[in-house]
Amino acid sequence: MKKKLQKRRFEGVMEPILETVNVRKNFGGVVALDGVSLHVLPNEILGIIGPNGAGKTTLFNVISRLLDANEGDVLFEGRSIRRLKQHQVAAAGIARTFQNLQVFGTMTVLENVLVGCHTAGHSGMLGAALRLWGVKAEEARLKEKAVECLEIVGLSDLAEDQADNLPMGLQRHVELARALSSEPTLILLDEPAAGLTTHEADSLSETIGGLREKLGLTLVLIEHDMSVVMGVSDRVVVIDRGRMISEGTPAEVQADPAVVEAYLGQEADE
Amino acid sequence: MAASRQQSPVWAYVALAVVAGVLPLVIHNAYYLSILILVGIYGLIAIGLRLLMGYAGQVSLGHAAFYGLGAYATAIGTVRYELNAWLCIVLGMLITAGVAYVIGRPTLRLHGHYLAMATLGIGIIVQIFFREGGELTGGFSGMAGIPRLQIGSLVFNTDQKYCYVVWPVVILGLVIASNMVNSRIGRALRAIHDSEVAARACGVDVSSLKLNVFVVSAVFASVSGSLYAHYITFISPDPFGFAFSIMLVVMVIVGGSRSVWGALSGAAILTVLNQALMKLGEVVPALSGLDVVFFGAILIVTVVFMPDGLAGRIRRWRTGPREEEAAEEAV
Repeated sequence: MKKKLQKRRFEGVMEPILETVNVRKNFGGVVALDGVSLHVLPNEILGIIGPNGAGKTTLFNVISRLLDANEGDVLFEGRSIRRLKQHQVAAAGIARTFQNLQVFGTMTVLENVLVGCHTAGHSGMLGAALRLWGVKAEEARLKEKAVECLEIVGLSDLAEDQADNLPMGLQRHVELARALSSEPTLILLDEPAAGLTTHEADSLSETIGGLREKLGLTLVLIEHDMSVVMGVSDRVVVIDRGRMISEGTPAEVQADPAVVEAYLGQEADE
Repeated sequence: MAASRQQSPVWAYVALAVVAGVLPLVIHNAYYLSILILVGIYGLIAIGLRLLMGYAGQVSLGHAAFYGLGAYATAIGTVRYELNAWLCIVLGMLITAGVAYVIGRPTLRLHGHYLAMATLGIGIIVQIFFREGGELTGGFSGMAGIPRLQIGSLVFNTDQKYCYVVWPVVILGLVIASNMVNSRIGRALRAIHDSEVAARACGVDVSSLKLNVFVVSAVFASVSGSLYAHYITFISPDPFGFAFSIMLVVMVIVGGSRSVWGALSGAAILTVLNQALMKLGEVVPALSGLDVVFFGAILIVTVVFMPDGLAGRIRRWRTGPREEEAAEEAV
């Protein structure tokens, strides 16, 4: 609690690590993001909530360059990343997980995480083909890194299992370990608690908190599980119909009439 | 269930080397020796093509053209310009790599099977170039008098000796392909297969990797073409056409595109069958020319009954059907 207070006090002077500036994204005539400007501070956990179809995942896709924004800019560590190619985002220091699981199903858990280490390696096609230039040493180094990441998320015992064969909750952990292994400064978690039992969600909250404390990571998570998002987030941003309608501490957001209306409105629609 | 390991044990290579080393000594029949050489030559192309099909998820319908480029580079270099034969093999590799790069760079950025279309086109263009190349390529009648390969005073002028050129290259090709598959690059390629979006998010430059694989795969075909030219010592445009491109694809599919060894066994099976059909055609003239129909039938049977190819089928026998079913149920 004390830490949170401190952070809020320094908010004015701290440079944000990630900033979206008036980001707009249309799909044909549908406006998915209608000028979203938000910022994330270093070592912060930011929760993003909002009704289904509010544009949360679209925002993640714009930040991770899977989608091009129609307008606006995304600044990471003070520099625009709008011109980066998709595969350069990981090297820049942004890792992510996916709402609809995207594990490499035919590969082992360890191999999944090793792909996450891709940017940490340099061996090319020729070096790999002829086993040149310390390729073996590099493999060993990457493997060590991957094993470490599996330990952090508690998957060490399942390293040799095929990813497809794991239950959904564990596949989410595989994605998390894979994201960690690229040594990011910022991780985007898209509904990490979806499909988890209450018990699993609790341990997930613990893991997320640990990542921030021990590894000094900054995390942004989209989440529908209120106990998770309110429990771990320093700050929460609420998005509805492509706009940011509220921002503040979990308590502030929960008390905001606009938020209540957005959620109730949606329930009435359903 | 643990996922099957991709790495082949060293003894497998040693075993192949022993078999490939002993066979030429015990086979005295010239015809069987020539088949052994052809299996090696076609196997090398199939190994490269399998890298492309199994790991970049792309089909090339023009690999015969890359094979032809290697063969013609060797023929033109050694006969017209009297260059060193080994140098010509390298020149062929470079030219082929350049052509593959130019075709692959624009097409592999696109989703879908544009590469198949582009390679189909280049296959036809290259064969026209061989036919209409006039003085340079010898036109329809081709070129004769390609010298035998030699190291110092050792000339590989018999089929038996030539086996010891072809098969070490094939084994080297297998090792290189298997190393690539089991590296950071191969892992990234397999990841693309499972989820391209996630692979990109992990920092994998998908289109550049696919391009690399395509170029490597074309170079395998080029080396094989050079070996073919030095073996037959005469080349004409005919063997480098669309029909052979298709046969190569069938070899990879029959063998199983997920295994390095599969491609080699696919090449062996189809080469032997092809020769058998030709013999049959000589005895029963009514059956000659039916090889295309036959290969079509093999393709259908493979796709329907063993979609993972022969190698997949064997793996299934080894791991047992129960585990396989369990894996499928878990999905």
